[in-house]
Amino acid sequence: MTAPPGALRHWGLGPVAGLAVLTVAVLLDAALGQAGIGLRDVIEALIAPDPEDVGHVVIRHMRLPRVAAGLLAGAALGVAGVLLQAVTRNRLASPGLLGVNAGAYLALTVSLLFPAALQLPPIAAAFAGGVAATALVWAIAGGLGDPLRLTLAGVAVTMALGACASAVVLFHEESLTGLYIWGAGALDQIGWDSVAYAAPHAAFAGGVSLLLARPLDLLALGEDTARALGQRAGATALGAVAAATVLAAAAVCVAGPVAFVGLAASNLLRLAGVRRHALLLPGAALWGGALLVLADVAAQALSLRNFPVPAGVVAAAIGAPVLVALIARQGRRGLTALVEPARIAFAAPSRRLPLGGLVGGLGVAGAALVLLAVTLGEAVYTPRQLWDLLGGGADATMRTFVVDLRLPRVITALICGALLAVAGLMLQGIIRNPLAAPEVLGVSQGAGLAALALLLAVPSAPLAAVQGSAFAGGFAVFLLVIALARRSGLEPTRLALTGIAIAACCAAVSSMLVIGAGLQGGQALIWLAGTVYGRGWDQVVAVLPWAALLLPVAWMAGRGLDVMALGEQAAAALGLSPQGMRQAVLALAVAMAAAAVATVGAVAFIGLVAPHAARLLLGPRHRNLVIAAALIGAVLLAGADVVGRLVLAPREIPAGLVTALLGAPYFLLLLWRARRSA
Amino acid sequence: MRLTRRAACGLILAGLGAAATPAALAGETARRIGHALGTVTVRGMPKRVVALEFRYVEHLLALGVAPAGVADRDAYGRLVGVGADRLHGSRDVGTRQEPNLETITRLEPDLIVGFTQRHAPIYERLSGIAPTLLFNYTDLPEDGPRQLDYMREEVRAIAAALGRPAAARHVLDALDAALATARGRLAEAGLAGAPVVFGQFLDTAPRVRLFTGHSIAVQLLDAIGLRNAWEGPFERYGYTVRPVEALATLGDVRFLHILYGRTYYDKLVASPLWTVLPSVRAGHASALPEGTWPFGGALSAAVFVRRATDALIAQETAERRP
Repeated sequence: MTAPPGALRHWGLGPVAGLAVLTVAVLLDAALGQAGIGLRDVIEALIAPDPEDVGHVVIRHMRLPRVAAGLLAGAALGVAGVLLQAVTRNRLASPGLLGVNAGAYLALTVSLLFPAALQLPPIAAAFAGGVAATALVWAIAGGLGDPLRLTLAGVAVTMALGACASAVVLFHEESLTGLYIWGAGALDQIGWDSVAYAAPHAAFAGGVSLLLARPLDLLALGEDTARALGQRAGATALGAVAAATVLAAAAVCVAGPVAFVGLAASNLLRLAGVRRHALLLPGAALWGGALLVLADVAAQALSLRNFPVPAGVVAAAIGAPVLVALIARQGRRGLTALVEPARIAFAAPSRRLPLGGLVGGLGVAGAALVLLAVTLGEAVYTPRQLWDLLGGGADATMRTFVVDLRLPRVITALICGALLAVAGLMLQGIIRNPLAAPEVLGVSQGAGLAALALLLAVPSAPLAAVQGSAFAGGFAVFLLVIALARRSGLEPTRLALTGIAIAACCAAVSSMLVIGAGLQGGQALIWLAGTVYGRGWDQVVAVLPWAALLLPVAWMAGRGLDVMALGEQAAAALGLSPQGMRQAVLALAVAMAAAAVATVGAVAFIGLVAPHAARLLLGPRHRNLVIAAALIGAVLLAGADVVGRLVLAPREIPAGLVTALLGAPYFLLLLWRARRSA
Repeated sequence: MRLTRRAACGLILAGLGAAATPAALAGETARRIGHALGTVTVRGMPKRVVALEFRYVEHLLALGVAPAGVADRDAYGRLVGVGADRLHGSRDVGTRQEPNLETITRLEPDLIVGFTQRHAPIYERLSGIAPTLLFNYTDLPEDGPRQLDYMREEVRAIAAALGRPAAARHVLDALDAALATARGRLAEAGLAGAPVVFGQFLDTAPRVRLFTGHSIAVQLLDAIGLRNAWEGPFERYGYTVRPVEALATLGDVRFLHILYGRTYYDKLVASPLWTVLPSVRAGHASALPEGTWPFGGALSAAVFVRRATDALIAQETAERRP
């Protein structure tokens, strides 16, 4: 670990520079806003406040709390980031990974929309929700024994809770804008009570983390070394995660979910050569606070036009490129993978099913789903009536329902589910990371955003235009990821991390789109969640050629992916060009994902879960996995369509939300059982 | 051939409700009705109508027709309220954003009325069920027709589609009468030309929507003799979302506001900021009763102006009390 050039080498400069930046940031942030007051008023309000002066009251009861919220949340996230990175020994672990943001979001949504249900003030609800979600993740993952399982559990819980919240909000469209503003990380405060609630919690957890500074240093040497030195690694890890959870929950309940601050603060300090946790922790607090307040300064400056720009969006927009740059700078050794590259199965399959049996079983399931989809709905038909329909005799209404409405929907769902599942499989194969999926790498979001932007601007845009823009968006992300990771030869870890940074950027932009969509917020939300509503034969005809072309190609690429799984050197020795293979497969995955997203919106979860389920059942051979994943994905999305359409009829839950609502608990169950068998 | 938005809107207004010939007044013949996506042919006198957006529910109720199907029927009762008691016989057809096509088909409607932004993607399907009118009231350009005028055209178009164009005149006359009454009451109280700002507090974030002159709410307040004092930048929905602190820039105006949920509003009212706001200090800030719908519709528009007038006159009365 050589000291990087041009960085702060002397740790003594760190705090001074940090405090200076902090002071400037605080003053600037207090001076910016929409109340028509400036820096002079801020100084006056601090020195000689006049309780009758509107400007002074705004500063003391709105601006300063906002600044304080930024400092508190930023500091808390910085410290939480350091703690989690120490415990997982992964420089890119961030507090949001353990589900705290999603838990807080759901609890806040419920407490604001149904005040009687939780009997808690919103801020307490958000805090409790965040802590509860992390506890759930922790329980399912069984502690820190397997960082992969922890991460997967965190992602699954985040998706499930997020989908719950989306479903609730969808039926209260008028409340959408405010929740999205909060969800994008807005620091606005009315009064000091939120900060006053969160500060003691954060302070307590911060104190605990300082006590853990020394043990964490030892932990960094490796668990075995630490234990040999008399260190109780398990207790330390538990304490650190608990403290990180409380800190992250405190941050999210005053400021909403903010990404990248935890990562940026700690990595900046490490770049400056700070190693010891006794310095790293306070330093991360200082710089985290400064960074978030600076992000808010930028956000306030940008908000002067038409609609609000939450600080979290700025943090993501700035933080993502910074993260990418950090990734690029790191030497190979300095950068640990999110998980060890080779382990992409979280449990060895206890018994492998024969492919034929699996295909048969899934085929039957798929056929049964099609039958269910076609017979159930506003009018329920018997199979006998369906038989008559096939024979040509049936009333017009039945023909409309079955042939025009239900059948094309379920077929679209089958096709797009298969495409998304195989796209995820391809991505996991080349990146060798179990978290790789179109939605995690920003491909789904890029495609979805481009299509959504078009739909919001031109509601009656023809299907071909929507498809075209989705492809354009997906490929733009693809090219961006390639360009940024090219220098490293598209090395898997870098690819994954770059994709994650871009995905976070896309999430920020989509928040802005939903907020700016105003009265069309519901439409935006549904598109981003993914839906099969209204999909007809046009959509089937548009997406079928892509599936017919790309799925067989993916099958053929299966053998190449098996070779890649042996490792880069082995692959090269066997005559395969790793970089070329990665590029080709990445293009393939993007094309499949974009085709699916153009048709049904940015459906999440299938690309993540279907490949894992397939691996659990079949083992690692990719040609088999392509078939199995495609079938599983198809059945998942078709099932989600049926459930979403029927459960609350005549209302409809978008299929993309159902996949997360049903798929995530099932996935968590798999993780739980895998833990017990391991 | 791409029309400029302004030209397109001009055409829209011209084409809306274009009952092409006097013979159409007979109501039994086929007539072509213009709407945002073109023209549609309607035959006979539609009795069973499905309304896919709240304002069209209102228009239909005002024209004397209880819709057979309503999207988000319960939300209509909660948010708009006016005439909800006449919707008992109406079937809920799902959400406004994704109305259930099967339910609509089963109702066997004669006419469907929807909102372009939401329903353009399913226009083909809806047309396959019944003649469908879509209106585009949120996509009016800055220098184009006003939302209030567009609303009047919507009423005329729907009345023409129902085969009862004269009914539109009754409805619009009633609205004008309500506006005139309000204007008179305000003038009597000495409030003509008073500066007013209309806002809506969000329920899930500490933000407030301040309505601009582009919105129907402000245009209604304008029509009753008040003067809009919020100079926000143009935004096509007619409001700008600002953090609560922006209220400090308003000065002493008549601040009328509505809220969905109370959480952040109660916090604001309890904070020191509220009492030092010039409007509040002067007693010129009033919350309109719950269930006031500011986004226009033949019925809620009249309710809105009446409640605004009541609030303003109550302010004046309180001020004059020693």
